[in-house]
Amino acid sequence: MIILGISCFYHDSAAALVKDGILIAAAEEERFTRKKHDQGFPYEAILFCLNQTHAKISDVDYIVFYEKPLVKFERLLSQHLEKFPFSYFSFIKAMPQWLNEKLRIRSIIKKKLKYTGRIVYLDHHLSHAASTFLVSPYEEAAILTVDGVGEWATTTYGYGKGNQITLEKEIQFPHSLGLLYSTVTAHLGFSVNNSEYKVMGLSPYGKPAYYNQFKKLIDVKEDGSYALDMSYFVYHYKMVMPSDKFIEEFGPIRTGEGALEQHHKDIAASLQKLTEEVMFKMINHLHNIYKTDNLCLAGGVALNSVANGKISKNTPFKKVFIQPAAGDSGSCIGAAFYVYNSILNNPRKFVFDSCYLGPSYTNEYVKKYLDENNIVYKEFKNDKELIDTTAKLIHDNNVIGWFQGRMEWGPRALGSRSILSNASNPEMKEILNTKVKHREIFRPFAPVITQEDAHDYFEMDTDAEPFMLFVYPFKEKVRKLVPSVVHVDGSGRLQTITRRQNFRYYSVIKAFEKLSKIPILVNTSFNIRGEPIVCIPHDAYRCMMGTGIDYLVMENFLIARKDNPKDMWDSESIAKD
Amino acid sequence: MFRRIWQAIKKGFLAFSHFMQKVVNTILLTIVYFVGVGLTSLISKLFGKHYMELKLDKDAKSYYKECMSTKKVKEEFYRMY
Ligand SMILES: [Fe+2]
Repeated sequence: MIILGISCFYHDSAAALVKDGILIAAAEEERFTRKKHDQGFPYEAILFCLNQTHAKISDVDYIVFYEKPLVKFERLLSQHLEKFPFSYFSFIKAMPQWLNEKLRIRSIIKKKLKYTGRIVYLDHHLSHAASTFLVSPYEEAAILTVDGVGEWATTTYGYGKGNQITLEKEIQFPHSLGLLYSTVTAHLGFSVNNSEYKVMGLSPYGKPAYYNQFKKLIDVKEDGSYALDMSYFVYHYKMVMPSDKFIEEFGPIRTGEGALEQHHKDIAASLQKLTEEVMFKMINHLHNIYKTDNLCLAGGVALNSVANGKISKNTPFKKVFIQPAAGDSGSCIGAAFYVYNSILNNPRKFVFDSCYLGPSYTNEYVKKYLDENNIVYKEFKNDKELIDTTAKLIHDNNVIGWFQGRMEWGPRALGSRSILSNASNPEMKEILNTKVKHREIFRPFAPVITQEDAHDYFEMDTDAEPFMLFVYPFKEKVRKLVPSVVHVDGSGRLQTITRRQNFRYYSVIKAFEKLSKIPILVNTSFNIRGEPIVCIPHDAYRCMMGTGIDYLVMENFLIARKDNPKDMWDSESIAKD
Repeated sequence: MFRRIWQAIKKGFLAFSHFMQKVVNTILLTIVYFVGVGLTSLISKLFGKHYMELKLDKDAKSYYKECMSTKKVKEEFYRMY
């Protein structure tokens, strides 16, 4: 049985394919179309999923859409009915896409894919809930989903047991912890639905000086349920998010180019503190009800890795599972599994323990690409040569584009499409920013560490964090050893890796350890600011040649930038938020 | 030469038709907004009906509401609503 899950038309469109209860393929559309956060119909991602399974569209038994479009439309109309006539401009802006695409999803699926089979529509937060619990390692768990908004729900909780999920309670729009975070993101001059993680990264630079003012924005009950004081927000009827009252309270909206002042950092710190407080209240409430050790989280707010890293200290839950694409893109996985496991009542047999679900390219493919484009390269004789050479190049402070195997699922590069460099070099953050990333200087780079060494370097309460979803403090004594991956508050958003999960990636770190005594590398996504992570060999080569990446290790081939001196494009000129 | 002029005219027409389409859409949507949405909204407000809960309830014990997502019969999953 083949089930195709689809999420699209909001942001980060994606598709996933489940065959006989096993997740075979999943990818975001942006990687193929090269449009960051592409929200269009995920045609390319679907084609990839079908190809990966050697299936035709006629083999698909169910297509599952991750939300109920008509219920969402009803919520939209309610907003306009409530706020008439102030919502005029937002009505004019939003309606064409609703009429042309969102309400026509059934005919779009049938027409674009030439599909004649069954189509299922799940509630948005049910897709989120399923995307975490049904692929978690737990037989039983409490489930919490928190995002901007789905149809009406913005937060839901419930429990999962076996192949069934029961969502018991929800909080409804316009009251939304995710939209509160997005409002502050917009107020601080960052892009909504994209740069919330920058606010999180900025927060350790500030003090929660605005915390009491933030408390005025939200009424939080003992059980963690909350409502926002909507006089501070206008996102329910305008194209902007904060109201004039919000601006009076927190100062003018920062323009993207404006300087980041201390008060911006304090606002970020205050918001982060409040978000954590509300999350922990909700999670503690869940523990009171369900009395289980296991928690499954999903929704955009579950990507708040700083809050995630503090769950075990602030709540009684012993184990937390989050799937790497916890936001809307990952819902297509949940949609597909919910039909297979819960609706069709098949037992669960898949645990999400590897993020390598995207396309891969053979050595023959890569060699042909390199030869056809007259690219100078060297072919490694064996794995040992590849691993030792890469480790030595990293140790010599080169910046390496690392392109190996199947592309990662989710927003983070986790060792397939990564940029790797020397974490012990105090200059590395600056080198990476100058050569490749052109990022805001406050943003930290992330460490990857071999799993068996993680406890020597981090104060963490779990053994493995394979998906970079939890921030933990570095141990005091090691911070000076890896200065380029230690954030200003002494923390790091780590990825742990084992030999079984990714042999070459793991082995390069081990070989680097032999040279430096440190089992940690800088791991950052293989892309230029403003572009999606690279997907095909050409993207990787183009990225290296347009930036200051020194070497590209692509499958069995080593390509040096200095041997291929023609700039293909100027990455700086297209760098954007 | 003629081909190029023809191409330019074609491009101009296309841009104009897109522009006109936008204008017509905006006019139609404006009518829908002020007549359809507007009248319904005004009548509802006369009867005190609200479509969203915007107010805080400081006395309430909880803001949680019943979630119906998993309490559906199988047929409902095939519907867009
Ligand atoms: Fe969502």
